[in-house]
Amino acid sequence: MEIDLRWPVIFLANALLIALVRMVNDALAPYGIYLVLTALLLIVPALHLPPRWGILLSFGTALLYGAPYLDDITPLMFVFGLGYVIFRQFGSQLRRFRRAQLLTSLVVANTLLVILQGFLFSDTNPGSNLVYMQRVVSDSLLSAVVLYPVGYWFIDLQYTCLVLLGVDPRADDPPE
Amino acid sequence: MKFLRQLKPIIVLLLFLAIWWFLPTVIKRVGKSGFYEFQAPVIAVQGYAKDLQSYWALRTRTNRELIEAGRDLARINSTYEIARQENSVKDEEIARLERLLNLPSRAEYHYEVSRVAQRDISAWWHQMIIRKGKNYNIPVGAAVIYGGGVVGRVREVHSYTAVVELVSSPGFRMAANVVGEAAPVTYIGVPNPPFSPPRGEALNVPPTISVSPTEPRKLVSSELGGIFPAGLTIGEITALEPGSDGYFQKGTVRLSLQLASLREVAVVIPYGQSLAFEEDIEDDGN
Repeated sequence: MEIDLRWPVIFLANALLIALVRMVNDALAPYGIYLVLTALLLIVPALHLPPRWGILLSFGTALLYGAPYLDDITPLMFVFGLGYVIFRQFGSQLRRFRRAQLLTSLVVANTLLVILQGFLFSDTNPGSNLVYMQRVVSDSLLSAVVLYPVGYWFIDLQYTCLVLLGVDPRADDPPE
Repeated sequence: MKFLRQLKPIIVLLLFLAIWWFLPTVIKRVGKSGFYEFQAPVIAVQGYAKDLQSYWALRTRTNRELIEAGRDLARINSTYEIARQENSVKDEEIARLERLLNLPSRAEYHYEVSRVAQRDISAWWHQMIIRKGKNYNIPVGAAVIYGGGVVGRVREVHSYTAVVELVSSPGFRMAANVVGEAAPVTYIGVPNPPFSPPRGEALNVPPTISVSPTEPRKLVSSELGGIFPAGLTIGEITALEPGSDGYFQKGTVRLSLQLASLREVAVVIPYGQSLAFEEDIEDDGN
């Protein structure tokens, strides 16, 4: 029986990214900035894992990400699952994209996912909705700026880890 | 058929979400706890990394600077030692008066000092993770404070860490007093605008109180909530406007800037609560 090493490697890489982003968010806390890179956690599982593992990995990542924050993780699982489905649906086009094009797609998807997360969690916030949405939009825009350099590094990291473990990360043509 | 095939990922997603939705709460709770504990060592390591960073930053200081800092600390220690002696005399006097007047004794606390491992301040959650949990008998709901006042309340306790909901967290609510006023007010956390320090809101402020940005009024904790000791600084009320009921006012509370960069906090544990927690542990053990 052949063991598929792709999903544990991608899961651990996701855990690393979550930890690093949290560390950066900790340092940025006094400035009122918070980075969210949800799309980056979903792109490789969506493009290079079989659907049954991909969706489970997305939910596992959502649990890992949301465990310190939420009692009910269902809305976050919906956001992660939806992101996964979007990337899966456009998988054939995304695989043909060059890296810069792929990252631009990620930026758009990430912004939409952050705003969707903002709407899903808006019930839990008393006070001004305008201030709340201002904060969500500003965080999503700043995350978009950061996503280019971080995404470039992170996608390379995932592919390199898989290659080092002797696993073919790309069942078909990868993003260049 | 082609249309159905295109919809397959969405159907699968909804199916998985439905399975998750109908899972028993116990399984969800165990899953969440497992995923938290899986990453807890990484969270703790982040805190230790910050400590190491501070250590190496201090190593760059000259001996002269360190000697001066030690001298200043010795002076502060002397001041605190005198204050401690005065406090113990006052405590004895309070106890004597309580006995004399047959008053109920006031709540007593002990403090568990802990380092901050990680902090998250976003539109959705305002919280910090501290490096003490069940291993130090930290109870859920305990008040968390620092030298400058109120930090928040313990929301979850794990094996070696605890999650603290910050006072700026949207939905955080506590009883408070404006300094010099007897009437209680309600403090709540509200969403914070981008690129700005944390803030909150004071509700049910009596109409007799007035403030201005140049003359803010200090808001302190009240014993009415039963969690926080009285008199701890929450923030400053900088502006007031008429409330929705037309009688009371509501105001903006400016919280301390330090709240977003704290390195060490103290968990306030009432003596009775810690004893109950220890009994629970013993019962579980039996």
